[in-house]
Amino acid sequence: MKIYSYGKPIGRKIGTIGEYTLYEKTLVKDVEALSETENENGDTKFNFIYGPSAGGLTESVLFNISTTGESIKNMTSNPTFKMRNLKVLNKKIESALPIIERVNGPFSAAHAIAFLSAVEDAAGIRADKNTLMSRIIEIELERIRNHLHVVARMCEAAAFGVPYNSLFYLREMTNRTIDKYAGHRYFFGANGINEIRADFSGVTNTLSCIDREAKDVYNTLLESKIFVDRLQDNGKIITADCVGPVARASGLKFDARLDSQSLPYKELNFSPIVEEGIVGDAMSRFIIRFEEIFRSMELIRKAESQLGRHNKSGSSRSITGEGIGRIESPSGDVAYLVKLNAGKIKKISMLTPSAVNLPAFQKSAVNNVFTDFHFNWESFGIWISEIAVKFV
Amino acid sequence: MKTNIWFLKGLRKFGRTEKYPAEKYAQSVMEPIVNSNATVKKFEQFKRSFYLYQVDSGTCGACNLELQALQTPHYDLNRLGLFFTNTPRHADALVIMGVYSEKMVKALENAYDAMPEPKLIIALGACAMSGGMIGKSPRLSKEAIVYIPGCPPNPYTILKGIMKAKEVSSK
Ligand code: SF4
Repeated sequence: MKIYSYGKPIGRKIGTIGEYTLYEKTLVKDVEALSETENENGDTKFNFIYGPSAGGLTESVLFNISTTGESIKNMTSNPTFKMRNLKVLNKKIESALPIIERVNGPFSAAHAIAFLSAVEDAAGIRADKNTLMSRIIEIELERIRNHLHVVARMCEAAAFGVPYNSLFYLREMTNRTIDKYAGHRYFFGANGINEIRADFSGVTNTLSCIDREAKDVYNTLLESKIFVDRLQDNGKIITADCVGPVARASGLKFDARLDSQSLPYKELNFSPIVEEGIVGDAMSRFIIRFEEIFRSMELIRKAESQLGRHNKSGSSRSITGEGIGRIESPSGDVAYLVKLNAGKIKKISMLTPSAVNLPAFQKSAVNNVFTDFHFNWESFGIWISEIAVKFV
Repeated sequence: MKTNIWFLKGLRKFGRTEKYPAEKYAQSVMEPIVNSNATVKKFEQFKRSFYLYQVDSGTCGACNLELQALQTPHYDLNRLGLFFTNTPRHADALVIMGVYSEKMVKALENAYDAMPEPKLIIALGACAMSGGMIGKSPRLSKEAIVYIPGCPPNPYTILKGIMKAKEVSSK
């Protein structure tokens, strides 16, 4: 491990990875158990269960909601219904990679790249510039697609049919752009050790119409008092125990693109968008996500101009050692800690933004009305697939 | 006012629904497979509208997104008389995605039991067909009548698969 070391906390706290807590620069052995949130207010309550399979939920997850009639007084969640066991231990890196890509399909590039960065850290390899810039383009394309998806789902929850369809239209256009340049709509098979199987020359041009149309929808939505009113003050949360757009919407400058060295965002003069003023509600998260779409377009343009020639790909055969890779996925930090022996995985732990942000979501739902539950849930951008997963 | 422009834009967008571009997508669009082992009965009811209820048994999330993509103006599943429903009580077909997971077995069975007759099952994606790269496929007391291949299947393949299920089971 070149960048991280074991020891005392240094820098911001990111979350739990295996039996450690990951900080900006260190791994600390003081894991907090993922506890269920209790918010007892002493009113007469009745409980109901939402999930695990319900029309309004994209994935299987169960919410245990305690209410006094309209407002939610307490909420716990059970994300373990769709638990998957992924067989990667003692596998070669090349055989494990397709499985890592499928930890979370919508963030597949982020997971694959964080894993490969950890492998490269263990091997002491620094990927060449073309690979690193292409990886940035992948991650930013994934962010654009995800943010379009999240804001579209928020429009759907508000029964705003036209912007919902417009944004889903743009999401599909982004998927087709990814397919065109990377050969798969979810980047499956596009990455390798110091290797990229995609050519992103010309991607900025293809994205220009998405940029224009997204700006148009964004400005119009901000003018709709009905829409803004439904999001403002909904799901308010200000806590340092969160990552990604949720943290940035709470006014915190948390971004792995700023404080992780796995990808060279510094060469692109990246600065994160952080909400100021009234912060921490679903509206702030909506604004942050839209603004990040345009910031990602800019980053893709800059990264495309720095694409060079690819040197040569790395081999995993002899890699032995320990490494960490940390990437800013669309929902926040994704990190992998791997131990390798002769190119085989001996130990692997992962930190995902969904697992870090789920307790924050539970807290934020308290004292909101159930009818606004969906705005709040969608605005967190949590994927259960990356929580309900075990490496075996 | 912007709102009015939206209304017009909305109409324009809906005008963009695509025909099935067989040649363009010949590589990535696969053919859905009709399960020859399943007993397929034919019903009058499936001739017109067809309602789908989806259950995620253990996906990576990509199959969920591709199924949702059918609602985008590109595919617009409603034009073919296909609809998503939020409750199994209104569903004609149960769309299963993802691998077998122990805790979802009961939810799957409950959803299938809650559906009114006639009803059928569609398995979407490599995980639901065979377990794919991840595990085993979900087991139900009834078999799927159509399998939709892909990891994840292209939305065109999904549309074709659902239409196939409707076609083989309607009189
Ligand atoms: S079939 Fe592929 S895309 Fe679908 S859930 Fe399984 S791994 Fe994900």
